[in-house]
Amino acid sequence: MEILNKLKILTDAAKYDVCASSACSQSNWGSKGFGNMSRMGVCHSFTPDGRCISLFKVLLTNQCINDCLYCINRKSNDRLKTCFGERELADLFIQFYKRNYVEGLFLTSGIYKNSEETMERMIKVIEILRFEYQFRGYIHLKVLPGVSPGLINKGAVLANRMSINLECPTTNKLELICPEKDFKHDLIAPMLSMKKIIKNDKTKIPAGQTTQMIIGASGENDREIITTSAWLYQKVNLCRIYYSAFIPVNQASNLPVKEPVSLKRESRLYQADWLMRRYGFAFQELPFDQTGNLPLDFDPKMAWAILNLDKFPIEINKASYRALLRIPGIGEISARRIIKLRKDFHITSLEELKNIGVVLKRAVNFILIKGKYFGQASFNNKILPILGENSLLPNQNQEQLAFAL
Amino acid sequence: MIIKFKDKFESIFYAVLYGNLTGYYLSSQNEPDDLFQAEEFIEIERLNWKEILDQHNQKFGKINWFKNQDEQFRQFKNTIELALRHWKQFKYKLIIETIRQALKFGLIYVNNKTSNEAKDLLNLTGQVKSDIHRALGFIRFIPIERGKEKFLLAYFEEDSQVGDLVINNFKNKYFGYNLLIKTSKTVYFLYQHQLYQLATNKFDLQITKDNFDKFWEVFYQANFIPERKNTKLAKKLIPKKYWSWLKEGQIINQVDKNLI
Ligand code: SF4
Repeated sequence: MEILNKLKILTDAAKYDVCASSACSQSNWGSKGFGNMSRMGVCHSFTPDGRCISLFKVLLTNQCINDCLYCINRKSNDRLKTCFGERELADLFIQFYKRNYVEGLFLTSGIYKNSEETMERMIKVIEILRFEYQFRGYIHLKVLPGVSPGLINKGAVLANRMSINLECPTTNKLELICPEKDFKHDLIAPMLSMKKIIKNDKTKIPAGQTTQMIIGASGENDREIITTSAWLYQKVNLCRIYYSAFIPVNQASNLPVKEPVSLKRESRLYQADWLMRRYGFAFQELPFDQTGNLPLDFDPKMAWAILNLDKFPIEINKASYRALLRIPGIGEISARRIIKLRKDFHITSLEELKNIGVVLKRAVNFILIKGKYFGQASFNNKILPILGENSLLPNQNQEQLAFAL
Repeated sequence: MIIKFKDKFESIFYAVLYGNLTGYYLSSQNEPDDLFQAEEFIEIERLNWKEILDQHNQKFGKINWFKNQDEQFRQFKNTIELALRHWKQFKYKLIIETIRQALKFGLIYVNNKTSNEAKDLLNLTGQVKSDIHRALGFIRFIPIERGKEKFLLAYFEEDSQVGDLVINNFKNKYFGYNLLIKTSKTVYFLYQHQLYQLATNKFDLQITKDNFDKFWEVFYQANFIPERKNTKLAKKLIPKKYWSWLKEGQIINQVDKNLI
């Protein structure tokens, strides 16, 4: 098959893996040769759906022995199957990189024959890049399910980041949509191997490990997803979890869910994840409703604030960094600026806060500036205008909300 | 009387101090001076800066942040140097006013965007940074080889004057290559680790595209997920000014019209 056709098929089949980050502060790959690492990550283009293209993200092959119900590459799908040669792929990538189309390589694959053999071939591609081309730029290597610790270690020497996709939050849910995969043995065990490697040798996998979950394919709720995420961050030291809203690309009749999942749900999960990772929120504090899902009408921080009105309003000139981060409309940058400024000044006006970067529309009802409240009416009435008539708040908290209203 | 300064942090800083002492008007050497043609001017570069600082210290009190030159100072200096690269002329007004505020209220006040002028100045700096960042992503090189020498050539349209910073950023990425970036005004040429800047009209080089474009096009289109279509966002992220050499513009338009 012509290389252009292979590129088309094997890119198209890799696009549902949403990880696009290319940021890495340190290189594990010498100083000779070409290619470098960017601390910030660089977007080289944006797709018509608005996603950043920073990596040359392709499959080595779209052939797969497995039959995961949601996956476009599953063996029972009647699609054209193809495969890059190792050298062919390495050469093609270098052409993209030289022209500044991409910031690095993201190599993934269907499972051809078995995980071990396919992974060996993926590693071969990277060896060509590292040893023959002396490429010292960014490489993200996908780990295939059930691969042995020895091969993971081999990849860990060569790659900047590695990941294995968990896809579902629990064993039961995985069984529903990926019948051939064993949650603990095929997915969690390789993650723990990577954790051990990173802990023992800082030069290996310097950009850490990540994972991805498909949202909504197995009928799971947000609480199940976030519970697993919290565990992965705490126990496996993952640096990032990606959430990809399920898009039905197959006609599999036994898929538990057949409708596409809203992008809003995906975005709420990212926000909740961010609150846990960066804003010091405990998992238990996240505002799940009775069905175990995050509210769609409000972002989780606003929902949390509304459900915890007794903790507001907060005096901007006195609150700790952590407390500032809990105010809707105040992010990490503006919280840091407030803390710095307060060393020499008192913040006296809404305009100052706006200049600093606070989103006043969201924050104004939850703050005091030098004891003065600028929100609407009395504090107890203040959330009325925010809520709107059709808002659905978590049922279990209706009583609490009634008090506020 | 007008105090003329160069587009450098120290030059503007001392010009502001001298302006505080004398009440004279300040103007950049790069500003069109039709308005003040009849006015006499002093070049700040020709004056004794130490004397200006001493006099300023005596009259208005010591400027501790200038003496200490700590992290806050570096941040402030960096902000001003980046803002000077912006193409808008009103940057000078903002820079001068922000330095005056820094003298009055300290660096923390301006570095954290507390006043409207400081906020506007930092926004200008943000635009310059964004120009650099976009250049790093959107520049497309054409590789050519001449004997043993390898070259990467590109065309890029710069708004702010950032070409030298951009090419320096590529230095490590393309170690072993000579780099040339042509803009409508300037050619930036990194040849054997040395950076040269030439006027474009004095440099006769046409950059012709090779046919690797088609690989990019295929790759780009294959990355699109129709179910997530959001061309409005894509157009915002790849502003129209880049469309003259990025194929993406045409493709996004076709997606818009449901042709893809
Ligand atoms: S193992 Fe991976 S590539 Fe194969 S069907 Fe499952 S998800 Fe798809």
